Amino acid sequence: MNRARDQILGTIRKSLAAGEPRTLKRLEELKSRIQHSRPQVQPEFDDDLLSRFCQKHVAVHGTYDRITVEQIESAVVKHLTGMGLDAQWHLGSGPLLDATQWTDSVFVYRKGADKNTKVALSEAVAAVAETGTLVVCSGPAVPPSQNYLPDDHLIVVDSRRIVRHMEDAWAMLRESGVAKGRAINLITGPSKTGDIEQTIQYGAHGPRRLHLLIVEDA
Amino acid sequence: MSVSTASQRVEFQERARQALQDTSLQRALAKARGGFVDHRQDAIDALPEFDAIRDAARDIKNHVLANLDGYLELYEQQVIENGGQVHWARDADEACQIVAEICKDAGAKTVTKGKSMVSEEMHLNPVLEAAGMTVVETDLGEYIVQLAGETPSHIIAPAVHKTREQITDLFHEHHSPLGYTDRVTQREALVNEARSVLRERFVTADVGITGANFLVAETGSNVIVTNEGNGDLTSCLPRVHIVTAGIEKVVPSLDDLSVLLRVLARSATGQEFSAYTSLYSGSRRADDMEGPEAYHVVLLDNGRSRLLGSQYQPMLRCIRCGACLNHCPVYGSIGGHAYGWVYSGPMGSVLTPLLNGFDQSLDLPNACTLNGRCKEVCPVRIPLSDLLLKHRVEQHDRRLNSGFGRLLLGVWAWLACRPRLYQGVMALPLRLMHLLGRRRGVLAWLPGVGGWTGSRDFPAPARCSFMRQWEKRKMKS
Repeated sequence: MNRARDQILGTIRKSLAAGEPRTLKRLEELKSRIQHSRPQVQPEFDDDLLSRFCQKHVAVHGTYDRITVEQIESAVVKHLTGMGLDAQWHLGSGPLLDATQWTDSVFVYRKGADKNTKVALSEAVAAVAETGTLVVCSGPAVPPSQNYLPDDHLIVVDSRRIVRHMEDAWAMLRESGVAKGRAINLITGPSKTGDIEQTIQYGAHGPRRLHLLIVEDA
Repeated sequence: MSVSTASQRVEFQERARQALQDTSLQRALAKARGGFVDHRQDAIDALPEFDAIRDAARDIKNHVLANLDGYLELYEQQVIENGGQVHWARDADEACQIVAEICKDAGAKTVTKGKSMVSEEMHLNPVLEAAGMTVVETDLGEYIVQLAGETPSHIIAPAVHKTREQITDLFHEHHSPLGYTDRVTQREALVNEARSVLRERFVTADVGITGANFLVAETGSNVIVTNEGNGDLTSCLPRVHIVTAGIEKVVPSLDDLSVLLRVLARSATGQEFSAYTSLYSGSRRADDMEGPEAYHVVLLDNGRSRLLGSQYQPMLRCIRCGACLNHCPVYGSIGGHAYGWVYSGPMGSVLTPLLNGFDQSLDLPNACTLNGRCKEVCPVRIPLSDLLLKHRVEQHDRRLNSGFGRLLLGVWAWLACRPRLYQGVMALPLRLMHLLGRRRGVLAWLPGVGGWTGSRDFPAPARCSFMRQWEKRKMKS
């Protein structure tokens, strides 16, 4: 197996022999380019981040409520009741969710989702206004299956965590160290497929619906 | 020309002919044609920076290719740091063996697969099936073609050639034994039935195999982009996650990744961003409550390293978006299967001879009108039609093209190097063609090139050559 590695890298070096020398110094330069990586050309837009984010989220078939931090539980229950669903869900983790005192009238499962899971409630580490994307990072109390198995996925996001571009989200992740987990899941709307006659159907394998609770006074 | 190349030639032409006569295929292609093109155009019209981002995307890819050995090493270090393993495979067989070994060691019975063109390139499924495993494609399009016993006919829309009626028949045949006895015909019901059948597979699979749209050296992650979420269920639920990827897929940093993601979805489906873009790094962490215990990346060379430094190096920039397929009139007429291998359309016509051998696919670089739309829409600015021309030149230099064609070109070249003789010899046929085509302005048939005029008219030439006319004009003045 190491022979294959050496041979492949050897062929690459031979093919590129006309290029720059393959030295340790070069490797350090590449490493440094990564460490000092900076955003390159980005789409420009003027709108304020919250309204741009909401507009993009709706454009990909998402729904949302703007709420206060005290309303998290009641907003979830209200949304689920409106859909005819019970007040129980698989629960992720994050500063807002961890600080919420759940009342006895709801039931939360702190574990990974299974094939029958109806609802999961997650918290986004960041949200990207550019594309209406939510960033959810896996961790000890954040199993990624919650993002993909439920029929209904609800995500709580602190409005202060809405950033302009994707690169701003990377910067947040690098700084907080949260990106050291196994999974970084960028979610932009509910699951969909165009594989039958190139016509969009929602709820292919993942959530059929994606609902956001944007907390504005955290 | 050897016997094998002769048979290859007939195969492509025969497949193309069959495709043109296949009414279901033609109906499906007609339905798909406009959608992708219009959606892409709308997405690009909404992004004034698109061309600047394309330039940046091209430059990132060029930088990586010029330093591929270094970035692969940095990526590998990071994967190991995350608790994963990197395997290197020189060719498809070696890659299949590595994957099969990992699956056997894991005691795998069921293997789910997210869409991976590289695993198609490897012909992985038969190898795993021969080892007694059940392999399930989970991208809806790939699942449909798997049920049909076919291969994908489009990079991002594998079942683009299937009509709803055909999918209805396939599902009814394969799902009835599982208890889904109703024959469903509506799109929504079909999607729901597949969701329900595949969900069972997702949660029982022992190993999940996905591809990688990108590999990030900064974080040691594989990036997968889907709309369905199948790639994520394949990555997260099984005990073992295997990633199959070409060595050219590595990008330096997350910021570089952003540039490429901005052109990928827009070029592929006309979306600004796909529903799910995920980065997976290594196996589950010690305190995670779920996730695979083992994470393996199989890096496939299969001829790619040889392309570096060659005139075909730009082809390694390809991010497999499918835009060139969607804009190709030849692909739009015959679909993907006629190309005979996993990669089709313009990018397939360039890549297939490079990876499989020049003599294996002689017709592909010639099945092109050189209209240049592929080159125009490519998000990483690969000069696809120019590369196809280079293929043709190389075929000629290696004496792989047809004897008759070579003879014609040889005679013409010999004549063209002797201007006096050339003009003398050409005067009579030109005159004749002028007279014959005078009435309609075109000639419907010419001796010796019936293949060309079979589907086209040849414009009738002027009464005498440009040189003659020039001389006359000069004499007059």
